[in-house]
Amino acid sequence: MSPWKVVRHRLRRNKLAMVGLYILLFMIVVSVFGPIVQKYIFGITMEKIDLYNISAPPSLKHPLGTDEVGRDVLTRLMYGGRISLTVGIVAVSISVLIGSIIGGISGYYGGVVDGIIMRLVDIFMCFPFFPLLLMLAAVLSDYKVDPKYRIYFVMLIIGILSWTGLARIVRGQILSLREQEFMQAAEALGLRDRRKIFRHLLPNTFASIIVSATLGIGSAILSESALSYLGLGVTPPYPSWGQMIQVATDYYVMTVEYWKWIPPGVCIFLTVMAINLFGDGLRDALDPKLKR
Amino acid sequence: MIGISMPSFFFGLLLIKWFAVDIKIFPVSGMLTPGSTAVGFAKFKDVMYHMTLPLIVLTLGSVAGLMRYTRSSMLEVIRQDYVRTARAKGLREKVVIYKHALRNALIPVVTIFGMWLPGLFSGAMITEAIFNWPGIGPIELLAVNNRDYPLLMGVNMLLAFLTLLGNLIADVTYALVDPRIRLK
Repeated sequence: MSPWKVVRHRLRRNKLAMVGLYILLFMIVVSVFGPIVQKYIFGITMEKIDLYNISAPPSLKHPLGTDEVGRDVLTRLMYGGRISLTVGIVAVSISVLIGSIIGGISGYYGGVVDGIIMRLVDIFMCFPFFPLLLMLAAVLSDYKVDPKYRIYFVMLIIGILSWTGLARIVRGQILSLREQEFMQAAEALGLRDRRKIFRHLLPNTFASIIVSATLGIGSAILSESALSYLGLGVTPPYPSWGQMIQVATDYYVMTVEYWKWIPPGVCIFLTVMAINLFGDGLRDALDPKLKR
Repeated sequence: MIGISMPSFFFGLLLIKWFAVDIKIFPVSGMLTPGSTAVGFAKFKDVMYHMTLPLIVLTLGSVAGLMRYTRSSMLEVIRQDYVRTARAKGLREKVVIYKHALRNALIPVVTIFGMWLPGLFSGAMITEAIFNWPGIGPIELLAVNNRDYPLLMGVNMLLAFLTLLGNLIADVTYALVDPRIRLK
């Protein structure tokens, strides 16, 4: 069996990981296709206002009720899912890109280069993640960034702030991979440094990159939702799960109009849990040392 | 697993709804009963009473993370030869797990406590804000909303300093609990 088949086989035996995968797939499918179905079959869009049903409780017409200006909560939930998942995936892609390149360079060259880069990483790590995120997001508000582009900036900020851990992991692995025979062979072939790093070293660290990326998506979604909850992430009119919970700061909404804020919370919780379960399963499946 | 996946603000709001609004056994927010003039032990009791819900949120969040660390480090340790030796000696499973394996598994975990030091100040930010707890969290949020940059920079500076201090403590405790590590 090829290594990937072994991994897939192990993953399939891990029931929790599979549950996670299915929940995740469900969330992705619903938030990708849900809005289309809502728009063309039921004629409901994100901004559509139903003036006869403002703050209406769940009913047949609006399965999860409507919010304070009469927008359908279920539809907004789907759009919010699109945005939250996209933020998670893009932010993690950015951090994987930066983290693996910097980790690769640092691990391959070693010595002074490694020293400088790792000290830089240490400096980055010294800053507490969340307060810094908050500050940068506040700066976005100061520059009055259009809500449309703001989402991309939020992705960028989360990505840029979270690459350090990955860089360390990649560097550690490359330090040991560098000493192996196949690298001597690569040396003997006279390959250029860039080719050695990106073709021979980084693919070997793929397993740990993919595990930390999977788990990273979960924490990116959490950061985004916390940020949006505080009103500094994704801003109206674009919905995101965290931002939808924001209405619960109103005492009346929190106590009586539960349909406005419990569903998005449950969505965040389920998605992040699914990602974590799947990521953990992936780690167990990819770790050859673990034979149980 | 539930603990690390639950956004703290949502969990906090749920707790408020269930315990403070629906069955009314805990206060909704704040640190003291309004108008209370209690001193001494009565005041302590009042504060503890108000602290219960935020405490549950924060504990669940950090316990979950700690459990994951301990689990992965335990899985690492349990495969070691000395654990097999302990089993071969005929020790009871309880002794093997708690005395031989857990003690060694806790070595990397102990260091995490040092890194929690900044988290004590910044990690509770949102939870404090939700429960209206007059800590450093709401102050910083207020500063963000008012764009009070000097205060923000001060808080971040404090947190960066605490991170460094936490790292130092982590290194020192690492050497303390693991006698194999000695400075050259």
